[in-house]
Amino acid sequence: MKKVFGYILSALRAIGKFLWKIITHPKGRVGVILVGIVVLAAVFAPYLTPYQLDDYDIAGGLAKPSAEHLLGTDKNGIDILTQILYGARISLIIGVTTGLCVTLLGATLGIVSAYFGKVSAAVILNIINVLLVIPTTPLMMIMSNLSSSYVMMIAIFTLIGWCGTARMVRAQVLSIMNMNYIRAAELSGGSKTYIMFRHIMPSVSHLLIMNCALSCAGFMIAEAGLSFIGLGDPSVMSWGKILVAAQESAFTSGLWAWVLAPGVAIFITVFGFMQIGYALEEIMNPRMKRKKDVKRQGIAPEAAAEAVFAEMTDISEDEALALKQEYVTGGRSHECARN
Amino acid sequence: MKGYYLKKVLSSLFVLFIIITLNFFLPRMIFSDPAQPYYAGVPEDALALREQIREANGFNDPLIVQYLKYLGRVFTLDFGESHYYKDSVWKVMFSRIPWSMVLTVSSMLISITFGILYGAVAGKRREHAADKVLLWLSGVTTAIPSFWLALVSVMLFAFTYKIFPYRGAMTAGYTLSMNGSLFLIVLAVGVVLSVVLKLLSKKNLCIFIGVPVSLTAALFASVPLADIVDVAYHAALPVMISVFSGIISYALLVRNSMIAVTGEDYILTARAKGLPAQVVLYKHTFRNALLPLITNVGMSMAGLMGGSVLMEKIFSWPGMGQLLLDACNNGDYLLSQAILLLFAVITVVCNFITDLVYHKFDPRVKEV
Repeated sequence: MKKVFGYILSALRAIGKFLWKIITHPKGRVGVILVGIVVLAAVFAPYLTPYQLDDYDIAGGLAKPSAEHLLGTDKNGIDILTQILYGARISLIIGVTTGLCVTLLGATLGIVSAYFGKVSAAVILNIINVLLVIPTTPLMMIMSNLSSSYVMMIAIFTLIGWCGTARMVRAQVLSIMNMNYIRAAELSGGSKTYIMFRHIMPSVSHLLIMNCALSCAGFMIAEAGLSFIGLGDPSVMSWGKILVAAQESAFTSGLWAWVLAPGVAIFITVFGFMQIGYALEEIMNPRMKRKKDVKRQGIAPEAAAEAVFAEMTDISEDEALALKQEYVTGGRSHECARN
Repeated sequence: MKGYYLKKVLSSLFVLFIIITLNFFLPRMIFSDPAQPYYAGVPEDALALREQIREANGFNDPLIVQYLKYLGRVFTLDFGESHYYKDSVWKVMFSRIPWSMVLTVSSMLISITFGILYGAVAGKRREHAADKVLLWLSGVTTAIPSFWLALVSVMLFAFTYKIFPYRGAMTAGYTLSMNGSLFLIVLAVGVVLSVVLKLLSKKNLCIFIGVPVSLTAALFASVPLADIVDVAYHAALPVMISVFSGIISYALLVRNSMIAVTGEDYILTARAKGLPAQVVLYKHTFRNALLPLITNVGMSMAGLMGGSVLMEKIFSWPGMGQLLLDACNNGDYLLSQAILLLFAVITVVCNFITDLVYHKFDPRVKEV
């Protein structure tokens, strides 16, 4: 029992540390704040507004923004702000779920295609090639006639959208597949599945997490577009649907808030997710770390290099000297050459 | 090399086969009764009559027989009749394609031209104002849905200030009068002329410039000027919106590939030879940086005839996207099948051409 508690505690600590890293990153902070606002709005929508989505009030329809209705009302007198708050729910659900599904499916198939022999590679690569050539938007439009529920939309997005992630993951896995630690794991008898989840997945995880955040953002826009052309779930409120209604009646009555607000909501959410994605990329990809980290440890870059060269036992002293001249005293050696 | 293209052709045919199969099965999954469109005007309770129609159109055959029959119809290019428009599917599609192309071709040409210019400027001077603005804009435009931008601009320019019209491709009540035979004659003369010029001067440039010029000449010769002006006036707003995001995406592509090319060894060689910076920039860096653009343009060529559903819906533009959307909403699946297949054929052909062109421009790409 105590052991389990300890595990949970350490997991929580790791998550906390990770969140703290995102929050301290300048881009991540913007993203977390924006996404946080939207998530809170979506969760507490019923408490944030006194109106309901079915509060018909034809007499008070097409009202301009006022203290009662902050963003005005639509043709049926339903408060626009309420619609936007409830619309955030469906946008977040579809965006995040699709992002997760696409990333998981793409990652698994990408790794399998790179690591599990020729047959699976051939099959998966052929599917990817087909999916890349198929005109996706028309296909999506036709397929969304299958069922108008938003679960169907998630399924269609996932079925069509995973190939980009899979290709990216495959390329990354191919480049690390022959590294020594994978070989060592194979030699010590790890099964392919074990190596896939224990060794390969973590080494591409930075790509996956970043890709997940970015594809969440992309699918939110796609969802808004699809529900704008009338292919969304008719039973739930979505930002695209607000814009359809706005196109029908806001233009002639000059209700600017009705047109602007859903777009701003989409922009805030998508921009937030994108910023989190970029921040994650910088945090988790060691190659993109800033030089500041070296200084923070209290070692000057030159001294750090010296330490690295001292640890290189597999090269001769002459080679080490040559390398040192190239990297550490680079500027000066150029001067010498010029003189 | 031959093997590579053979493989490519086979995989393209495979893609088309899959699309045809999807085309066959999707309507049968979507509609509880796939013969629904054939019942036009037949009352619900006339079950015997309905059964007759089902039998006559082969809906009572086993699925595999229906599938083979469908394959046969596709190979003879017989797509049937659209039940909503009461006309042959081919006729309906070809009446819409030119309208889509008005929007997409013009916006693509404009965005490629300005995108290359902007990208070159931004890539040349990294970290300067133009570059920073480009990066910032690309971040913002990916987060803004373009259809919302279109809505806002419609409200601003068409309703608040009334500068541009907001719906349709022509002023209500007008129809485009086009002299088809004159168009074909002028186009043929222009194309023949440019081919002859190419054979005489042995420069590919003649074809690259000759064909678009003869196309434009044919358009201006066969369509009255007033009509062209009217269409251009209606197309201005949608084109501007798509150009805005188009320029930024092309510029970002050119900028990134400029930066990548600058690090190549041959640029270093050119510099080391002592070539002037301008020559290195325009003859070595810029030309090579345009290579990735070929792939990108080839991909978007496929969308040229498809048009943009969102733009066409917002501006009520009578294009292909709008047609497909209507077909989906009306359950007119014979039409949507044909459109999807047409799109797939265009995409596959464009991919193939892109590959050929890329090989021609970049001899480094050998057999894969």
